[in-house]
Amino acid sequence: MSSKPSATASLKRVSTLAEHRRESARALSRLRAAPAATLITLLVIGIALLLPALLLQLQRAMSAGIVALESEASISVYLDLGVSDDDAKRVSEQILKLDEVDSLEIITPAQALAQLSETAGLDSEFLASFDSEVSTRSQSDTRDSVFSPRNPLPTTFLVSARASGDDTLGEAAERLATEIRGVERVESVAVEGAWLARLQALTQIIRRAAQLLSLLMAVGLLTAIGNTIRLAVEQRRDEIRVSKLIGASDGYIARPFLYLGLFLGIGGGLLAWLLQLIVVGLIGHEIGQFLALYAVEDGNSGAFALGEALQRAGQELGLLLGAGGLLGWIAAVVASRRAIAACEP
Amino acid sequence: MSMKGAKGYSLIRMITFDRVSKRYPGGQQALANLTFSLARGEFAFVTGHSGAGKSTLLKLVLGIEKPSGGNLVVNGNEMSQISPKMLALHRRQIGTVFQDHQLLNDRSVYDNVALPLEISGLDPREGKRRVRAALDKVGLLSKEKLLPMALSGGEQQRVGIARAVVNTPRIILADEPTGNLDPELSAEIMALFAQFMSVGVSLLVASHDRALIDGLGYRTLTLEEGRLSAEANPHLAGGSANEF
Repeated sequence: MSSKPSATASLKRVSTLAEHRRESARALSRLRAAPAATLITLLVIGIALLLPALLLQLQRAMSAGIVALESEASISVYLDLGVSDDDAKRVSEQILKLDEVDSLEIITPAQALAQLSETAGLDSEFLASFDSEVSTRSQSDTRDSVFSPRNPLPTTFLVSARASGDDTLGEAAERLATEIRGVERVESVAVEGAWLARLQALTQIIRRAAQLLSLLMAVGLLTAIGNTIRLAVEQRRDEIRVSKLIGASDGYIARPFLYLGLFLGIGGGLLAWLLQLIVVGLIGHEIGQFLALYAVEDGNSGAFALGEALQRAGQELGLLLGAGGLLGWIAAVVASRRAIAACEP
Repeated sequence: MSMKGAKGYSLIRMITFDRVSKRYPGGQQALANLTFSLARGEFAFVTGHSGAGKSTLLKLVLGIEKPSGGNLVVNGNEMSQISPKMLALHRRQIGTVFQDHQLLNDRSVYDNVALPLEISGLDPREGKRRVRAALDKVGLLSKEKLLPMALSGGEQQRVGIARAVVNTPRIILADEPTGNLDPELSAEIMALFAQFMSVGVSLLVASHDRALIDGLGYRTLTLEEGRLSAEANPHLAGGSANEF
């Protein structure tokens, strides 16, 4: 008894698959039959998907750079002149107890002087005339002595902040700086992040613009694809009427139009991806230069960068194909349902 | 109501009009208080002048129009309450021959005839066998690859007939099916319909070809201004002719 129903179900399943193959092939052949109209529609869809995709890509590149910079962002803590090594160590231990501190590096006055000489290209004899230990002595000692001129640089801590909760590193650094300013023997505190905040703000603007543009373009795409589907339904009005007369359901009639919308969306997504590769190829160098101004690496060099770039390109292709296909399908569902319902025998 | 006739008609009613009326939105009364039924395996002509309501009657059976009043039951479906999904299934059980053929001009003769089978989701191999058999019956197998535009009016009508019968329907509706055919071909088509009748298919044929109707001697419903004005049924014992 059980073999008969299963055989019937099997036949039905094969038949349904064959139906979908046939309808998808028909949709493709309809697209091929009107190459100019298809190309124009694909271009419209491709460009509409390209614009937000480019903005999102720029925003992502900047965000990645900012994250890298934030991880290196530090707070410079300058101690009073004349703080001894022991005092400096005590202050550093006190700072390390604070929650937001990730790491702390001590730069002694001598190290600072050496770094300054390297950076400024100062004469070694001139530097040798300083007593590197002077700054750690008391003012009275210095006044009474006949030693070399005093090292004017203070003991400095480079403190890295650690983000907690929903705070960004920048916010954590600002809060930590406020706490450190209250520590005894601390002369001044500088957060290296004002320009980073500006870059972050710019990135946020680009992200919001990309989101808004994506929304507007999605509406535009739904309208454009929907209109194409509506026209396709209109062109096949007679066929739809006859099909309804001999028992075709609206769902059956809609199937080739759904494939049409899906293929247009996927084709537009593919075109957008290709256009994006071209645009990035053309202006990628300029973007890299812009990001380099903020010390952001563009990550376009080396074998690792190549692999990463390929992976990113694959993700972008998947995203564009998915977005295009989904929008095309939704537009086809909405447009074909209304247009087919209007084609009554 | 007995439906027994000379050919042993089934008692199963395939089409039942019970005081059915149809008034179009413009106010035109197309059918008024129409009552009759068609049994399984029964053949009936519907005749009358132009505008008598023949086409409206067929449209109601097919579900293109809904009755304004009364009850119409076709193949077990109450037509005034049928859902869109059921309506599609309902139409698959009915083979319809249209006066204006309703063929798809961008599809071949074969594809036109195969359309009902495609819609029903039939396996293509089985479908091919059925399509070729149907085309063979109407004498168009050799023209299966042509487009309808390449055929004469009579040939197009025969393609429409092949499409109507290919899905082995329970009911065949035909609106002037022999309008474009010569007498010899008309007789062949009617003989084909008779074959379907003999295997239990009900046929309702709208025609005003009196010679054809009188020659075949099937049950005849005559409409006049939307009303059943006369009914003749030669197959009933001793024959029957009623005027209303």
